[in-house]
Amino acid sequence: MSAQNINVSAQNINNLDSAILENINSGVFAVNQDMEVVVWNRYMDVNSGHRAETIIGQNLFKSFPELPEKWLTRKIKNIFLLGNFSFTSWEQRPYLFKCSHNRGFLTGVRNMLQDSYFFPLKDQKGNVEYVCISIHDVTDTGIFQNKLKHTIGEQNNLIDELEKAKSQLQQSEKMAAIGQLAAGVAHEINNPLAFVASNLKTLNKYACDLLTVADHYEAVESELGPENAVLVDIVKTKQQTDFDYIKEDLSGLLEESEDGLQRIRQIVKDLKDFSRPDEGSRGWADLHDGIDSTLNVVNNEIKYKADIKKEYSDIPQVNCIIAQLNQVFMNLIVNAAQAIEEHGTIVIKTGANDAMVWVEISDTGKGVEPENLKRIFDPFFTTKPIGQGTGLGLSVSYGIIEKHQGQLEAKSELGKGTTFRISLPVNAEIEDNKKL
Amino acid sequence: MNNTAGYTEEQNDALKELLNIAMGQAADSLARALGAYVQISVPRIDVIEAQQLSETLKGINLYDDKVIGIRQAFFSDLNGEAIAIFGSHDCDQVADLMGYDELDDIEGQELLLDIANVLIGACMTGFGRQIDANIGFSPPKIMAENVVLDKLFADENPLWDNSLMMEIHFGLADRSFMCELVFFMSGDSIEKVRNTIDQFLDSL
Repeated sequence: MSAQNINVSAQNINNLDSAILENINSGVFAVNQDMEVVVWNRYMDVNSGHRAETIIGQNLFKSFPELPEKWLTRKIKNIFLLGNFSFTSWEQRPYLFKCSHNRGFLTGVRNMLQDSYFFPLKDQKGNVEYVCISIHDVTDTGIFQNKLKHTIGEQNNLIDELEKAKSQLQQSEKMAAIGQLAAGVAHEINNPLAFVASNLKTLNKYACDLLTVADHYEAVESELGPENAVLVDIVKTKQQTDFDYIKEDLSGLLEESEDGLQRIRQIVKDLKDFSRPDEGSRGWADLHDGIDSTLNVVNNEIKYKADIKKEYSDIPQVNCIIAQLNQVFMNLIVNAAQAIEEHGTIVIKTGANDAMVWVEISDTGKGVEPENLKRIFDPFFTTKPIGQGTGLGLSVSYGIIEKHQGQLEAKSELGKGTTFRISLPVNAEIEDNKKL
Repeated sequence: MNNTAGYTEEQNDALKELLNIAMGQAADSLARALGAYVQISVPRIDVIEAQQLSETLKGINLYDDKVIGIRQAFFSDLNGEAIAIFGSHDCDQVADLMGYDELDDIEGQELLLDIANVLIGACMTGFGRQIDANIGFSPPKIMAENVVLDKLFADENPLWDNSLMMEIHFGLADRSFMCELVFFMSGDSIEKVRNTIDQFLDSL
């Protein structure tokens, strides 16, 4: 307010108090018990749109029907009764009187934000005669505080996301390290595996040969007399070594060892398939092989939680990056197992129609809330406890399937279970440079 | 009562008596203002050290585990801060008493700010009248909401070493509404109160 506006010596203002009241840069007005306005300063004139001469003596709510009459009456009556102070804050009630304010014109605040202060004016006996209300423009503070609040909120969100990204980064670094380790170990195991396998094969042949020789020796045993010292020694040694049982068990042992080696070979192959260094390479692959090798890798995680039921149909090979699809299978199978609380079944179904193949992975788990189902493919969305899920497994899976020009869909029923369905074109044009 | 901070048992009793009178008057005017019967506890008075701040909240009993704390500073002859503690979901119980219909979250806040202001104002003004002290008030502000009671003072960092603490429990008959008022006064105010009590005791 400029100094020219304040004219203490003006004829119509006869004392200093009223001059101050009139010109102070805050709204000041007072009402009596009947809610009739008795004081109305110039600030109120200018900002409320009602001039003192028209409003003094009038009921406040008649002149301002938009005021919250019930609440404000109660508030003012309490001050008449208790003689206390009272307040309103722009944070809870942006304004008492709707006054336009152009300071926030560019920020979308068009009404003056107000703090108000209610106080009693008492008569000589100490009874409250009027309640006076002063209105203070806090628009600038309010705009700034809202901005600050918004910024802090955004920063908190960013911090949350950073934390999640950090944990995902750690997780993916860990996974990459495990993958490399697995590939390295697989390679290292392959060499001894090869010579053990080859030796075992030779050993098998030698054992057969030795048994044949022993058979021939046995054939001549009858030609020795029963008292013959050599025969007595042979019989004794045979008994000591349980030779008949050895003959019986030997081939079984060798067969089992061969089986064991075969299994080691499969695990090594799966590990190599899974963490294939040429991850990005594309080619025709049998999805059943991919699912099976994934199942072998994750078997430990799921064998106590769920029985796996495979319902494979005849499906054509798919032109894909199988290592990536394996990652999707793994995510979906591990998720399925985690959704099962006690023990359940995971059904893996495949099929083909037209130029598409599909894989369905269903669990008998706890299901997903309908409102969450919409968000499960969102990055960072997880319902798992902190530290157990990064919320990226499904979004990465979604990205991989999308890159294969396929679709990943989920349907779920609470308490019954969830089904994920992957549909893939048999021969998709995969953009190699498309980022996941 | 922690007598080491300077209040004798006699002073303590006298202070309690003054507070009782003040709170009785406050309860009476509140009952008239709210149109509901107001129950108050016998005030608890203590002189506490800053590090005991959170302990003052022990034993406070509200309807809700989560609370909203509202602070209001008072100044002039007595300097300090009053904290009103409500259960987070208690505001619905008293909406009509303060002229509200349906409450949204923001209105719930405003309502509790208003009630805190009325309670604190009535108590402090009553107390001020007893000891002839003039008291002004700053607007009430929310200090924390939806927090467990133990955490209410977690972010506070008092500048004083010792504080005179007065605690009063409010309830409304026939409504499940309770509120805990805790007043903290330090330094000069402790002396001012002591001097007034001594005058009061001398006059007996």
